[in-house]
Amino acid sequence: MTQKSDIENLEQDVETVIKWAKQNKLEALGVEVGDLRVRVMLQDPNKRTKGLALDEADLADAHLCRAASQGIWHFHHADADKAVLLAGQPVPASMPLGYLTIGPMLLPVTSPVAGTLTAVFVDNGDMVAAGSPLFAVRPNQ
Amino acid sequence: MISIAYTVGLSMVQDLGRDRHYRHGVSVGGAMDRLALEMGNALLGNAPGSAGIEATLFPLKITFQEETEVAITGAHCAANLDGRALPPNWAFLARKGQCLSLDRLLSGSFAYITFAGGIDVPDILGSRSTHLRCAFGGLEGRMLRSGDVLPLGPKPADRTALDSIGFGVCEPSLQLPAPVSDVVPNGDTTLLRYLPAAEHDAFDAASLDALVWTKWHITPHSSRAGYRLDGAKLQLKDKLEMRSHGIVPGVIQVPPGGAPIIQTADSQTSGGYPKIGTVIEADMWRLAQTRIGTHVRFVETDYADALQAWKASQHYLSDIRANAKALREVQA
Repeated sequence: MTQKSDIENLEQDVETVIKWAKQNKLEALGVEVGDLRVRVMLQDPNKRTKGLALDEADLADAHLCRAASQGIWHFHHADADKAVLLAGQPVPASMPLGYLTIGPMLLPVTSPVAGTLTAVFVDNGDMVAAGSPLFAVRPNQ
Repeated sequence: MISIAYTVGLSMVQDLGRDRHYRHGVSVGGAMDRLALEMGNALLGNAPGSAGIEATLFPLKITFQEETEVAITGAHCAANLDGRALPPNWAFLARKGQCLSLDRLLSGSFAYITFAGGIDVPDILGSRSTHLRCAFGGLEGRMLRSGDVLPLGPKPADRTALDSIGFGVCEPSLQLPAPVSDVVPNGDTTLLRYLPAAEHDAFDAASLDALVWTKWHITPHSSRAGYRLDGAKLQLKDKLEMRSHGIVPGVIQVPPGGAPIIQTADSQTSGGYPKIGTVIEADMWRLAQTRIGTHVRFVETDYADALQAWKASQHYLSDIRANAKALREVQA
């Protein structure tokens, strides 16, 4: 069972971990106390994730697919052949275009619409926060 | 209900087995890769020991008479649902009339197909697992055949439904620290941690060395009852006469021929051969997924490490259970 003191210890640990992460220029670090686990992510809010937009105008009418959860982005399943998304590529609706790993889990990310991929904002292995834009799809007319 | 549209054999209903009738001579049985079965049940929110299908020969095709959530875990198979490819260790929604096809094995040995609510065959001696040798449990105590129909239990309530794309879990070999050895090369062999067993010290020094230095071949005379190994001859210092005594899955027995046998799920409950070691419970799934014809090596460990490894696997399962519940809500 997790004790109250564990939580207090964890809070102190989180502070320490943030300090270490900053000192060592790390983007993420995890701590574990009892059965509590916390992952600390330090992201520069001004840092624009990788952008492969063809044209800013393309983004205007495009559907932005965002991460549903914090996780690590992968273009392909660990056991599958590599499949890298390229801007300009047609994408069918509800086909996994990549996966977020969240702890031991794999959450597929799909485009809710069929269309053309106009931008990819992430790279393999990027850690993303919930709500981060992953890619943009311009729906078929 | 689900039906077996096509099977070539060696598929059967398994759960976590019978642990209360050992004293009556009833072997534990249950899934060879218990971790994989539990992973499936954790993904689906089932009770940990809900019954699923254990499959070793493919193709296996299952059609659904009702909409149901399904998970495929364990050995990595080329699988698809009505032609749409499924990644390994995946949970998804199958609609009425759809067909799940596990076409061939890509890696590992035992694949598990679990269903929301579990397979609802009669509970015999506290388990639904198929006991082939005694012909009870599972479906009529036998392997599944094409045309068999299996009822499903009540679906777990109080949760968000999965969608047809579903989600998955990273395979356990990437998540659970693999055994390490600073003396033996790893390479293409599975490393299994063992604890010295009662007669360990009765073996001569050369045999104790051979146990850890040999690349053990898993012979074709292996089954759900035991994995027979070949590679060196393990010998006792002195002749030893023993009465039959209780043995459990994981025990490494050494018959007079000197070729060790690792007891597995359907192991008999007693034996009289000297025991050189016991493979720790946390590594039994690694053995199950090591194909017959390939190799294993042994690494000695201690009780504390065995317990640590066991806790890590339980942590992995509870992590899956908790995250699966959260991801259902994220997907909705």
